[in-house]
Amino acid sequence: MHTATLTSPHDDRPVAPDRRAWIFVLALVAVGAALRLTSLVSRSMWLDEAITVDQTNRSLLSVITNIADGVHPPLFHILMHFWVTAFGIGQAEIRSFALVWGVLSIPATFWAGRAIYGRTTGLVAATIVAFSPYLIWYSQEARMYSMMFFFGVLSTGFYTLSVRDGRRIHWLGYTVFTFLGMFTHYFFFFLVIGQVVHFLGYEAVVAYGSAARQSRGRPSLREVFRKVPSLVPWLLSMAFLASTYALWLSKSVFMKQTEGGTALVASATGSGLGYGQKAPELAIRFNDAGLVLVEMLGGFHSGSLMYSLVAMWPVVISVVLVLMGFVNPLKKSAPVLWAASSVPLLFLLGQWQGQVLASRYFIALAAPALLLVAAVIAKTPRTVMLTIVSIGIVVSLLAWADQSYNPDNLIRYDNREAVQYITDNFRPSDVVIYEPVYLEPLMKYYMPTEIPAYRFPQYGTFGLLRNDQRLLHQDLERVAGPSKRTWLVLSFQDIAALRGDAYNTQQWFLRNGFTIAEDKKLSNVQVILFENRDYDPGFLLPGGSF
Amino acid sequence: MYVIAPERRATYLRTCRVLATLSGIAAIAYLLWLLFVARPDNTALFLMLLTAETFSLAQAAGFWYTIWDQKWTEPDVPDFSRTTETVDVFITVYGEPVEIVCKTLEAAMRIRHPRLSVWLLDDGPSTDIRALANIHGAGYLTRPDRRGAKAGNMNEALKRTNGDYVLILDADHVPEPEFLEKTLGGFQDDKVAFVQTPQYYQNRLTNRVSAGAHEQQGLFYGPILRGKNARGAVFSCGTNVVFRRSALAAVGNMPEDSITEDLRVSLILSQAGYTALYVPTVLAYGMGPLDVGGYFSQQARWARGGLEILFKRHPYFRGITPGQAIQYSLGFLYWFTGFAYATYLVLPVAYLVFGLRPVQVPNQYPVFFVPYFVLTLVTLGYASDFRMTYRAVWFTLASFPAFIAAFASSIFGRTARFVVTSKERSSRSLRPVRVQIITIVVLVLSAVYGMVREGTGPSVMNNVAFALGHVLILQGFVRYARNPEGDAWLADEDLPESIGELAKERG
Repeated sequence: MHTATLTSPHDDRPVAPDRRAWIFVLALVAVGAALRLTSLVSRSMWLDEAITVDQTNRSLLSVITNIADGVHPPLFHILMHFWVTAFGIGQAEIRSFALVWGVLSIPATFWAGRAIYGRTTGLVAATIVAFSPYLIWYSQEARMYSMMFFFGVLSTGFYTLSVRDGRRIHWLGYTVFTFLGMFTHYFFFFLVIGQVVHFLGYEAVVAYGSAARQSRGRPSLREVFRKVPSLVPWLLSMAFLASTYALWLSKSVFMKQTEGGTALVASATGSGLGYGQKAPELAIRFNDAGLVLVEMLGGFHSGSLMYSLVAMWPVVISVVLVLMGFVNPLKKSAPVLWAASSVPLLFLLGQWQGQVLASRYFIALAAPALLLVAAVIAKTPRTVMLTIVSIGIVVSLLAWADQSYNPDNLIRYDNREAVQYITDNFRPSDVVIYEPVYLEPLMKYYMPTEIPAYRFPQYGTFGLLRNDQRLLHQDLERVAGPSKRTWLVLSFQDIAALRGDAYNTQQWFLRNGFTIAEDKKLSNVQVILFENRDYDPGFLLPGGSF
Repeated sequence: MYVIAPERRATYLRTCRVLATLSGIAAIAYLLWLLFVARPDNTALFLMLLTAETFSLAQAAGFWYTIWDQKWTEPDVPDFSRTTETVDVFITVYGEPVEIVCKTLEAAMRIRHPRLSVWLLDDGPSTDIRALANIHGAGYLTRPDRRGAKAGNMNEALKRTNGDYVLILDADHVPEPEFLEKTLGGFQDDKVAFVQTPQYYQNRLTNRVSAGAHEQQGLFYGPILRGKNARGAVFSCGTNVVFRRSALAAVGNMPEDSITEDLRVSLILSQAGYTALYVPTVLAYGMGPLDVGGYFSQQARWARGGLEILFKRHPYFRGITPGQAIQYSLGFLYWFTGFAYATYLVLPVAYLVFGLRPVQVPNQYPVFFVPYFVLTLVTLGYASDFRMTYRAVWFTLASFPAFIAAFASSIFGRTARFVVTSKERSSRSLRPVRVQIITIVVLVLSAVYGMVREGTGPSVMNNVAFALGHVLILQGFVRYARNPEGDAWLADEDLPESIGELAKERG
C-alpha cells in the first residue's frame, strides 16, 4: 500500500544541531579539500594570478598604495600579503589561500542552507559546494573569487535570517559579511543590489501596504517604522555599507582607464566601462552567456565540448519545466530568490558589455542560486533526491578530472609549460620576447632570472601602438637583431586573434633572415622560435640592451 | 485548486496583466523574427514550424486574454426558510461500484436544503443500486434503453422529476453539505442557466495518474474558468453543476447528439441568451482516472466531443457574443495541441537523421525564442499562483496521440460512443502508451545516429537536447502505465482540510 504525504516527504525544518549531519559535513570538507589539493597545481598560473603575486609580494605600505591606484577593493590583497609573507610565493603556497576559503565554504553553505531551509537542504548544498568543478576551480586560483563565494553564502544566510526574524545578531552578521564581501571584489555589489531590491520592493512594500490598510489611508512615518521593525537595522546596515564603500565605488566607476576615459565615461578613443578596451555596444551574446552557465554548472573544459554544451540549451527548458511545481514552496524564500536575481541582470548587462560575461564575476551570486537549487532538490522525494545527488557527484568528478588534467581546457593557460619548454631548450645567446605586454608579471614569476625576457611591443600599453611598424621594427632590431635565436611567447585566450595581432612582429623576423625553427602550440599559449641561420654579428646595433 | 485570497486578488490581476503584456511583446518579437528574419532552410519543415508556433502563440495569446479579466463569483448564502424553490440532485450511475455510489449518495443526502430530492439515475441498471436508493430513502430512476447516453439518462430523469433546480453529480463526486448554499444564490439573475463548480480528484493522494489529471485541469478550474466567468462564457463540465430547470427546458433539455453534452448544452444555452456562473469553490470531491488508458480515453472523449461540435454542430452560427465566441474557440483550439506537439517531435528527428532543419540561423533562434518561452512560463506559473507542475505540462503534451486520434475519428469516424471512465481498478498495461514508447525509441535512436554520423558538434547536440526534452516529457506516461499508483507524492501543500484529514487517515 502506497502512502501519501501532504508536504515534502522529508522533514526539512530547522532542527537542533545534529551530530551526524556535522560529521557528514566534516567528511565533505575532507573530500572537498582532497579534490582541491590533489589538483592544486595541475594547471599553470594565468595572468591575474601572477598579478596577485606582483601586487602582494611587497611591503604592506606598497601593497596599500598599489591597490589605492587600482579598481579592486583592498581586503583580498592585504590578507594575501600576510599569507605570502608567511608561506612564500610558490604556486601551491600562493593558491592555498583561495583553497582555504573554498574549503571553508562547505560548512558555511551547510550552515546557510540549514538555517534558511533545513538540514536536508544544508547537506545537499554543502555536497554541491564540495564537488562543484566551478567552485573547485576558483578554490585553486590565486585570486579573490573563492573568498567572494564564501562571503556571498554568509551574506545570503544572514540576510534571510535577518528579514525573517529581525534579530540584531543576524543583522550584525549580515552587515559584517556583506562589508567583507564588498571589500573583496566590486562585483559583490550585484548581490547587494538583489538584497536591496528585495527589501525595498518586497519586504517594505508589503509592510507599508499592511500599515496603510490598518490606518485606512496614508500611514505616518512612525507607523511605517513600527510596522516594519527591520527598517531601522536595515537602514543602519545600509548606511554603514554605503559610507564605507562609497570611496571604492567611485574609484571603480570613475577611475581613469589606461587609454583615457573612465569606467563610465568614454575616452576620445572610445573606451568606457571596458577597463581600457573598446566601447560597449549592444550585441547578441547568447553563446557567451550560455558559456557562463555551463562553466558554473560543469566547470571548464575544451572549447568544442563547452560549445556543444551551450548548444544544449533546450535542456534548460526541460529543467525549468520540471521546476515549475517547486516554485510555490520557494516563494517563502523570497530573500534568496531576490539575492540571485542579479544573475539575469548581469546576463542583460553582458549583452551591452561583453566582459561582464565571465563566470568568475557571477560567483557571489552563485551562493543564493546554489541554495535555491539545493532547496529544490531537497524538496523531491528521497529516492529522487539521492539519485540527483549521486548523478551530480559522478558528473562533477568526471568534470573535475577533465578540467584539471585535460590540456585542451578552454581557459587553461600553459604559461608554466611554455617557460619550461624554453628553459629546457635555451642557449646562452638566446633572447625571449613576449606579447602582449601585460604578460610581464607572469613572465617575471615563471622565467628564471638568467634568461633575458622582453615585453613587446616595448612602447605603449595594451598593444594600442602595435601597428606603428616603425617603432616596432626599431625595438625588434634593438632586442632581437643581435641574437641568433629569439623565442616569441604569445599568450591569450583567443590565440588565433593574438597571432593576427602579432603578425607584424613575425613578419619582421621573416623579412630579416629568420626562419621559424619551432612552433610549439600549447593551451592558449604559443611558443615560436625564430632562428637566423645567416647570423651576422655585424648586424648588432649599438646600445642594444634594455 | 489555485485559490487566490480576496485581499490578493487586485494585485494578482494587475500582475497577470503586466505579465500577459510582457509575454505578448516577447511573442510578437519572436513571431516577427520567425516570419521576416529567420531564413528558411528546409521549406516543408519551416512551414511546419511556423504553423505549430503560430498555433502555440494563438493558444498562449488566448490564455493571456482570458486571464486579463477574472471574476470570482461568491454568491450570498440564501435563507432557504424564506424561499420556495425545490431542488433535485441527479447522481448519474452507469456500472460504478456500489460503495462509490453509496458515498456520493450519503453525502448528497446531507446537502443542506429543506426541499431537496436525491435521485440515483441508474443506467446500469443494478439491483444493488436500487437497494441502495431504498435504504437511503433516495429516488431511483432507470430506463429500458441507454439512448443518448448520459444526456439521455438525465433527460429521462428531467421528465420524471420537477425540482426548480437540478444538481448534477457523477457517481463518484462526493458533495459537501453546503453545496447549494454556496451556489443557489447565483441564480438571482433569471438569465443564469447554470452554476458550475470545480472538479477535484481526491484519489490523487493515492493514484498518480489521477494526481496528474488533477494538476492538468488545475489551470482550467483556476484562472481559465475565472476568465470565462468574467466574459459570460463558462462551460458546464458535466458534474458539480446546478442547472435551472426552466433554462434546460427552454432549449429542449440535454442535447443527445454529442458525447460532450455538457459543452454542447453550454453553447446552446449561450445561443439562447442564457449566461452561466463559475463559483471557484471546491464543493465536491471526485475520482480521477485510475490508469493511463482511462485518462487517454477521457481525453479522447472530450476531444472528440469538442471537435464534433466544432465541425458538425455549427457553433458560431448565431446568438453568441464575440467574447463568448473567442472563449469557445479557445476551448476548441486546445484539442489541436496534439498536432503542434507532433510537429515539435518531428524537428529534431529530421535534423539528426536527415540533416534537415527549418531555419538557417540556429544561434539567433534562442535569442528570440527563450524570452518568449520563459515569459510565457512565468505568466503561466504566476496565473496558477505557482502551483502549476511539470506533470500538468507533460500530461497535456504527451497525450498527443489521443488528441490526434480524436481529431481523425471526429472527421472520418463513426458516431462516438459515451465511455465512462473506470472507477473500479487500475490497469497496468503498456498498451495505451505504445505510441509514446515508439516515439521515445525513435528519438533515442535518432540522437545516437545523429551523434555517430555527425559527431557531437553544437548543431547536433542542440537537437539531441530537444530530443532528450521530448523523451523526458513522454517517459512519464510509460512509468505511470506500469504503475499507476506509484509514489503519489504531491508538491502542492495547500490541500483543503477535509482532504488533509483523509490523507492523515491513510498514513
